[in-house]
Amino acid sequence: MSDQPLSDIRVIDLTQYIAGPYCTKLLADFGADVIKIERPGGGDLARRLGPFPGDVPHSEKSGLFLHLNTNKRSVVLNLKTSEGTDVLRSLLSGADILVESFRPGEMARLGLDPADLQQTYPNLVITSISNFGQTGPYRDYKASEITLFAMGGRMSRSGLPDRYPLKLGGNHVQYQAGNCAAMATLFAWYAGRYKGIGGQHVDIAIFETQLASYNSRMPYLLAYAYTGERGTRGEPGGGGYPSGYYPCADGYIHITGGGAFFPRSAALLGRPELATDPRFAPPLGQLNRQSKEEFEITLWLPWLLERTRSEVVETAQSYELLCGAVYSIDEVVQNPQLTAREYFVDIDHPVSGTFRYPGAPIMPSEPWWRLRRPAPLLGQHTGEVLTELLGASAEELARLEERGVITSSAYSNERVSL
Amino acid sequence: MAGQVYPLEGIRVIDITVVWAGPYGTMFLADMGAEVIRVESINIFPSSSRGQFARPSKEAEARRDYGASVYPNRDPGERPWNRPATFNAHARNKYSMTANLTTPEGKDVFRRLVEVSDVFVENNAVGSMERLGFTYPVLSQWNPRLIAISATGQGRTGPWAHYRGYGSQSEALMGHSSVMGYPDMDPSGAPGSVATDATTGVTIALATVMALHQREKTGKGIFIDLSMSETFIPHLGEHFMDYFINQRVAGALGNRDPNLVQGCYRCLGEDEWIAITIGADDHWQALCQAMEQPEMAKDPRFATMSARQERHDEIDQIIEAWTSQHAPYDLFHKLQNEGVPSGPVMHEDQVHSDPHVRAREFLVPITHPEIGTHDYPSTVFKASKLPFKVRKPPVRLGEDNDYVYREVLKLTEAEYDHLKTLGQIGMDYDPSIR
Repeated sequence: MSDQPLSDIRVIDLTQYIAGPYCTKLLADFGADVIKIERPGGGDLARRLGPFPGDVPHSEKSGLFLHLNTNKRSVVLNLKTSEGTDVLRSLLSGADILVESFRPGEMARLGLDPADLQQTYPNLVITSISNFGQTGPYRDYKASEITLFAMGGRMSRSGLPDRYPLKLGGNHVQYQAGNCAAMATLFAWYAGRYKGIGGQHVDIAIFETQLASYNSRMPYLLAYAYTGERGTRGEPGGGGYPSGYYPCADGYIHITGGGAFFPRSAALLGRPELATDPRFAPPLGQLNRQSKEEFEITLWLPWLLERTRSEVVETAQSYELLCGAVYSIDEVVQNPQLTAREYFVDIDHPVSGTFRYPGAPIMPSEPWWRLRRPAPLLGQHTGEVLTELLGASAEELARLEERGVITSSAYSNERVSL
Repeated sequence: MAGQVYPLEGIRVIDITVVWAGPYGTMFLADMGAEVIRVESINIFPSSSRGQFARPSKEAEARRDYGASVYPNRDPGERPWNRPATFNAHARNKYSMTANLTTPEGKDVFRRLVEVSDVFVENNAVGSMERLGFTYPVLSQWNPRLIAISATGQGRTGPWAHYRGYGSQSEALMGHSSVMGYPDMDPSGAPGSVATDATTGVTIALATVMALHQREKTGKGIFIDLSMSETFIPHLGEHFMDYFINQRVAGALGNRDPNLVQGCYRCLGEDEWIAITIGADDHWQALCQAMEQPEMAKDPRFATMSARQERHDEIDQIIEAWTSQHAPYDLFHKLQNEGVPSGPVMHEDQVHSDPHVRAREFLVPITHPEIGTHDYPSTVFKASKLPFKVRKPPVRLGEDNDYVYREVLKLTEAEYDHLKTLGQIGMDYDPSIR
């Protein structure tokens, strides 16, 4: 078995919640040694957010935390003490990448100004993830998943025209920022490694990861520059019909079957002549609202309502139409495609037990994505990391622990054998 | 900065990507210095790549809904395929050549290109590359160091491998459509999201960097099977984990979140809205302050998060009664001054004039030879030594044929002329293509 691609990279991870941890999860799952620094007391904020088994909060059982922190090691370090920042600096001297998600300016307040760190560690890539970036008039503004999508993303076009705009599911904006941060971090690291330009500071504004998202936002920001027209909610402009969500016998499907694809939809209905019927034919027939209504009511919906989702999808796909069924989460986890590809994985965790988890985002022909360890217990690797990387003795560890600089796992001695 | 060096300089990428996800991925590679060569055909027009149609009529563009045309001034112009915003937004820094890969001569050109390239990215329906004979075993014989990435809706193996789809179909199939949408409606109210196009593009670039580094260690290329669905499922981690842990199936939550009180509220003006999140007690106190309702800040009915969540509908009404009297940016700055997480639903024109967007130089003027100068979105990150740079404007169909055929592939003039006589070289789609 070959090495994982990032097995020669060490990352010091000062992030919490979702965006930063998803960035470092991607790096860790592809082999990087990610050392997650958590604060004494509660650690990562995500440890306090659900879903928890039976909805009973427990710092080692958050489904969100367990998902986001696979393959990382946890070190509890008090960065509000000078000894704590000394330990961090020692760790940085053997690291390739530092990722942080403090509010802008907090690193400097901790005595860890990225510009100063860059002087001391000229090859270190420092990635900062924040809502609006490290500069600009909104730098210190507060944000959330929905406000970042409202400002950065395509929310103005999301939802029905006569109702309020809608956010997307879950925390996609946060995750996608982590995805972008991992990509940008590796670009910077690769430039240092192979082009000899040393380290640098990567500034990820979650706001901008949405502005430049090809979830329609980036192209339509340019469309505005081209036309001077604001977008509206409702049917995606100009795609023709059938397009969007439609009911069928046992649920809903989503299809892109209009415009250039309309001849295939006509063939599917056994009415190929509709493709040249001036009422429906592209381009003008496909832009006519009355024709759309007529097509949907007299031809399309009657065909759909006699068929199940999977019948509709299989038939539409056989006509090379772009069509998928709307499945709920429980249907997704047992669908034949993800099952055949063995996408979901089982992970044992010493406190929370064994659950299934989402799997690898890509499937290379070599097993790059591997589970070396489950999400860490709070401070599980404090002693291990300081011993292994800094050569700390048992006496030094005890002294640091006594002075409140580090904490070892509450689980390290009793309840769990690790 | 003088002597700027980008990480992927010296890396050549063959790009047979279509629609959005694939081209978005190769955009990042081109921005980082790779020589990304789009291999296009003047005999085949892949829909929704360089526009929906090769030659849309001026009349059709004029009739589209407001905000729905992607052509400059709604004018498809002489060469419409060089003009759609949906294409040009990702097409800077790339190269374009034309070849007909269904002919023996085109296949030979492709083989020669594979021999001198590092990376091959494509996102066509499963079967397309097989029909052309460009499977990875063949490509890696031509060039064992070639890294090939194939992005598809559902992956290249399994019973759904043949499914065609855009991001929106992937999002229906893997659960996203079931958790967005209005809570009081069936799924027909859910947005037509293509978030998977965004995740897939970034993942293509991430995978490429990893593969290039791995190639330095192993001396060999690799084949990467990327399923748009599988790149996105981790983004719904909480919902999947809740199912695996508690067997609880998430439904459409609209704008709500189980840990928060939040919404998107109507403001003064046409289609103006502001999103506000109350994630902690001090946010609530600050919101009451901003609304000038100090008595509500002390009201025990709203004092805790669980109390507020029980009265979510009532709170929404109180907030909207206030926001509907004010313009969104006024509310935004007032709420932020009090420390309330909030943000206006920014329409495209507001992004273009936003002071933060401008201060960070997110929008960059680019001059395109056929459509002039406009402000383009730049990219998703800023890096101190890798400033965003446009070396080439959005690429026109076939504009780099001379460069690629003569300097990259080193064809003789006789060979190049032969391809021209076969009708494979050009900057215009065949007149038969509508």
